[in-house]
Amino acid sequence: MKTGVLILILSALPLLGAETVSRGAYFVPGDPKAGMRVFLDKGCARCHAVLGEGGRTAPDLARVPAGHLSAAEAVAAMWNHAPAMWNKMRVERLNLPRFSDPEMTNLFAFLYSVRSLDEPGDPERGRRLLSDKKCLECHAVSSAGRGAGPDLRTWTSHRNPVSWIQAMWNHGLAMRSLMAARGLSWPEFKDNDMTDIIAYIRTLAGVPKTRANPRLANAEAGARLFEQKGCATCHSFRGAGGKGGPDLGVRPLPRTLGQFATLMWNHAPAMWSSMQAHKMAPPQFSNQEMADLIAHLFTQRYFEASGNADRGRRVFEEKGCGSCHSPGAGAARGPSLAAWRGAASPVRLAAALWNHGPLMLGTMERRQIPWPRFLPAEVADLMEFLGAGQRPRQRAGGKP
Amino acid sequence: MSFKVGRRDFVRFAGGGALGMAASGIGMEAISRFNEALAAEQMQVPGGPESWALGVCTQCPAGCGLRVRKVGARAVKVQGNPLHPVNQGGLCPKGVAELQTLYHPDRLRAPMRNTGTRKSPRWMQISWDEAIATLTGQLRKLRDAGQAHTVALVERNRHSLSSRLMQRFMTAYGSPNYLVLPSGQDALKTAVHLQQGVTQPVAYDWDRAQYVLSFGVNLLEGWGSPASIMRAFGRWRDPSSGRRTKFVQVEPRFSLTASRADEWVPLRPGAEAALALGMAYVLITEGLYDAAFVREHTFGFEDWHDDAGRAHQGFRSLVLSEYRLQDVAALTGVPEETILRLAREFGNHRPAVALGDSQTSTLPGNPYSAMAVHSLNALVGSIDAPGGVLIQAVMPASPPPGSVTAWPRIDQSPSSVFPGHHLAEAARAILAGRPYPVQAIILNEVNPVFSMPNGTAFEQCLDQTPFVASFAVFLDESAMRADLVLPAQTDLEKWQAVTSPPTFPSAVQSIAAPVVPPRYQARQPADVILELAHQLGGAAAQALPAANFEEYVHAQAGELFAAQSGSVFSTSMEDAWNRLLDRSGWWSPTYATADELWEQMQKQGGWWDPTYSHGEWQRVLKTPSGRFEFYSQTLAHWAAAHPEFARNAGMKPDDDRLFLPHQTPIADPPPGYPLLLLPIEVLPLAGGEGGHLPYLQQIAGSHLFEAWESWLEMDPETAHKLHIPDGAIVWIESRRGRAQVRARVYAGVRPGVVHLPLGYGHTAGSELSRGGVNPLSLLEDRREPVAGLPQSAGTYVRVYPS
Repeated sequence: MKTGVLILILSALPLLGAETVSRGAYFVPGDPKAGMRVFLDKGCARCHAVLGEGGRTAPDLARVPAGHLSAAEAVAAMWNHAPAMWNKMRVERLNLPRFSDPEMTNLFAFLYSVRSLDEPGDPERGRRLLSDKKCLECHAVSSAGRGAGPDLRTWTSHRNPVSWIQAMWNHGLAMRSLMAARGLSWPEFKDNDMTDIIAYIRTLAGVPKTRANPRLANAEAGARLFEQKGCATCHSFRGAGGKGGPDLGVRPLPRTLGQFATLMWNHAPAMWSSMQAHKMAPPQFSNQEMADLIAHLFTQRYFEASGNADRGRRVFEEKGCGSCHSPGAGAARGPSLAAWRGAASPVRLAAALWNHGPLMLGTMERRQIPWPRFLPAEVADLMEFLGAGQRPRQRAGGKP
Repeated sequence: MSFKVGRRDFVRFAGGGALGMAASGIGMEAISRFNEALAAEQMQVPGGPESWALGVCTQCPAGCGLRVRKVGARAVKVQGNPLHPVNQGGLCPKGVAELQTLYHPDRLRAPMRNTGTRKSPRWMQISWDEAIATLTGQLRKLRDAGQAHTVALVERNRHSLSSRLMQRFMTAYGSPNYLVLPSGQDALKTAVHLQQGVTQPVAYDWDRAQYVLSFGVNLLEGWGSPASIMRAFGRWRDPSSGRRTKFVQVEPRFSLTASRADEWVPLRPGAEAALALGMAYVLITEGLYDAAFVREHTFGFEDWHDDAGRAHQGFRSLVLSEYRLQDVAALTGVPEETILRLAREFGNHRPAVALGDSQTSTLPGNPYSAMAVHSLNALVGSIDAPGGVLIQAVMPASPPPGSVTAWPRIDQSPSSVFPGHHLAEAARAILAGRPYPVQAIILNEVNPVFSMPNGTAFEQCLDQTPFVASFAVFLDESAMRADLVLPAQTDLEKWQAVTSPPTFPSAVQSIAAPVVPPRYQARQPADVILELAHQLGGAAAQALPAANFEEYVHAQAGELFAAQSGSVFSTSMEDAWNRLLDRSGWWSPTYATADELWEQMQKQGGWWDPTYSHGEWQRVLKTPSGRFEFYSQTLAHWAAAHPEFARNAGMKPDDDRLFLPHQTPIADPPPGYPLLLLPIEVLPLAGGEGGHLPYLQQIAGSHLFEAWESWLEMDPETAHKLHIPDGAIVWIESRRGRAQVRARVYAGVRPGVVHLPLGYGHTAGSELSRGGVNPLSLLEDRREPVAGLPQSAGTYVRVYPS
């Protein structure tokens, strides 16, 4: 069994390789745990941290940037900073690592995985949130609590935001009625509010309790739940499915699972109203079901918007790639990129960057050619161009 | 000191210390017999295929994982299990010596009945059936007569499922007298209970600490979990880690630990509290303390008023009024500028941890000193912080059965205030027959007659108790006073299940199946107790339904599975992966059922939960105020109902210092006894154990090239004054007794102090362990007034040429 959040997310989908997907989107398969080994073995952790563990001299790759990071964005950032990285590594006498395509694929899978994980929150902020959001009007966190809702101290073993959202979702309608009776409005949360609240509740663990962590989510099961629970009645993925709710395939999702769960909570009243209009009963979820469902929704982010081959040709020419490389089988001073035909992807570009980049940089410096810089969209376009070889490919999903 | 290799040194090193043994009373015949046994068991090449098996070392509470190479059915090499989270492949000399324990020629071979008297025992070999029938008969008779509470079981706190089983048995049988030997950490445990309200072991985040300040703790000589601490010590010095943890050792003697520290700060013996409070003075006056932590998570820092309106002194005003630098310097012998610098370093290099006070494995320190040291941790906000002082995670396990007897434990110690067991007080109670006479004692692989400071008293206890049974590997001093001796299996022969070791923050469950078949007729004591429970029937049988210890351990694995957390021992990469997931609330087990977990535990060595959750204040601060208490309200409430407490401490009942950390008076030497005797602990004989093993004897005194016998460390100035040359045989005499020992002049000793190593001077058991002097036989029975813990300091001696 492949392990890790992401790999289970991906297991619902055909293993496509780090290639252009027939639907015109890039997809990153891989084993995140194997990617973690790559991260450690290749020395990435000497400088970079993930979720605070690792080096301190370079950005924490799980935290920066704060939002979702596409493969093209990651490669663009890596490409643009590569000369500085290599120079620093030379100064510190660190070996420049080389990556096989599978290693780089696993590394990307690892980074995507850890970026979807929530970090422990700020308990003090959580304490203030509970008060500010008027949660304590009903819930108790001490012996002096009000008691209408469950005592939150009984929830100290639940540390996953998905578990909290599951419980809140299941009891949401009853909560809404109680809140309405008390004149309370539906509280909305944002960003990492939920993890902050959980962090605070954890500090109330008087009696040591074991954690009640859900097992890693299974996106395949989530896909089935999406149908079974009636979600598909309203929601669609890239145009396919119900039209009553937002298209979850094009809607930008937050970076972490917890943030997504928070989003779901905020929209719960609207969803319930819509269900009521369609005479649907709000579905109930177990802890694991909620995790699986969210994992399924998260898979959609890995089919990233693809580029355009024509624009890619222009990028190839404007950035000076053609002065050394030929996109097809033609003669060139640098290696031919013909082998990329039908197999170009940002992940492959990242591997090539590390394996050949330092030599390329030296050659370019000798020829006084500046190191090109790419925007994420340019990387996507370039991949489309290289994937199509010399002949730009016309696809249904691509726009000229 | 010049280094000269004389004939004696040469022979000792070349020939296994034969001459040294002769000088110390170990017969050549004994060592020859050992060598013969090794030749038969270990030195000859055994037949059969090579294989590897996992084991667990219980030579100290750390419970390190072992990987044992076997040839055929014979174990031939022991090394560390690289997957074990505590030792990570490392092993201290005690673990390496496991083979010598297994194949030791002096082991007990069969159950024996004493047909003589306690003072003149005569041993007759009997069958296990007869032994268990005897034990069952005695316990059944007492239970049927309503005297179950008069049975005591004594063992060492082994942090194991075996101990949990023993405790469960005693409770179900109807006795409150499950007693354990004192631990060196009892004072620290008392301080943490008084200031944090918890009884779980204290732990340290060694890897992330930036500054480690030890007040006399022999950190690199067997304290806590030696292999894990030594590994952390290596990382402190590893330049590739990108940081350098500073380690400062404060203690009177230049010990091995002091020699490895970044800085050694010698101080007057017993003045640790004053130094800690002097540092607190600097932290407070210079604003170097963590004001936010003190404000939000502590009690008793400032002066305060109780509900009745009575004013109380707080920590700040106590420190500012009584621990000014010049006063502390005079009391401790540490220069003012050194105290100032240490405090500034401690306050500025966070996370910083302070640990202490001084202790050996069986002689705890002073609770007030431990409170003073622990207060430094609170001042810099290191309580339950990353890189700070943690409270060990609780193992997932079903709660023990409730007590079925109304009788108090024999020592009647107030466990609710002073955790830990008070075997010293138990001995007094047994001798006095109050609150009730003890009718039977079961010793489980402990030797209190040798290892207790008041061993003579315990010897008298055994003599006056109608029935004594002892599980033992050797016929040691305590087993010699028993009616029934039951040969116990050694680590590599039995099912092992060791739980979280002291000072380690995570919950750990190590397990191992027998590596080799049991030798002779030795049995696992837990198996015998289970059989005993079944034969007794009733509540005991109901509480322990497992057919044998393997089944009992297997059932505990089911509880671990039900807890739905943690993972089996694995590579550091897997552990890091699991931590990443767990900190975000996900669980990724490699097993789907409890049986799969059980199988994987056996293959990998155990289960653990690598994630520590910081900041669970209601778990780690369970005092009356829910805060860290500089001023212990627990102690104050107890003292209010016990006026003798203040009397024993020599203070007025309304003196707030009774409940605040403070320096207790340091006694002056009595006339005629000018030298303070402080026992020391060396790693090979840590815990005062291991004297029967040649591997350990040979390296025990390596800093002075001593082996096989005790040595008395004294400083050159005192030696010169007493006309004692280096290597001379001298008498050391306390008011309790005297003994002959070789004097070694050592510049690392403070003038006016002499040191004797623990672990020497057996009078029974293996002949190999009988060299030297047991310092505990010279110590006066002194106990500190707070929790009644035995004290190592306070006994003065005189030394004169033999």
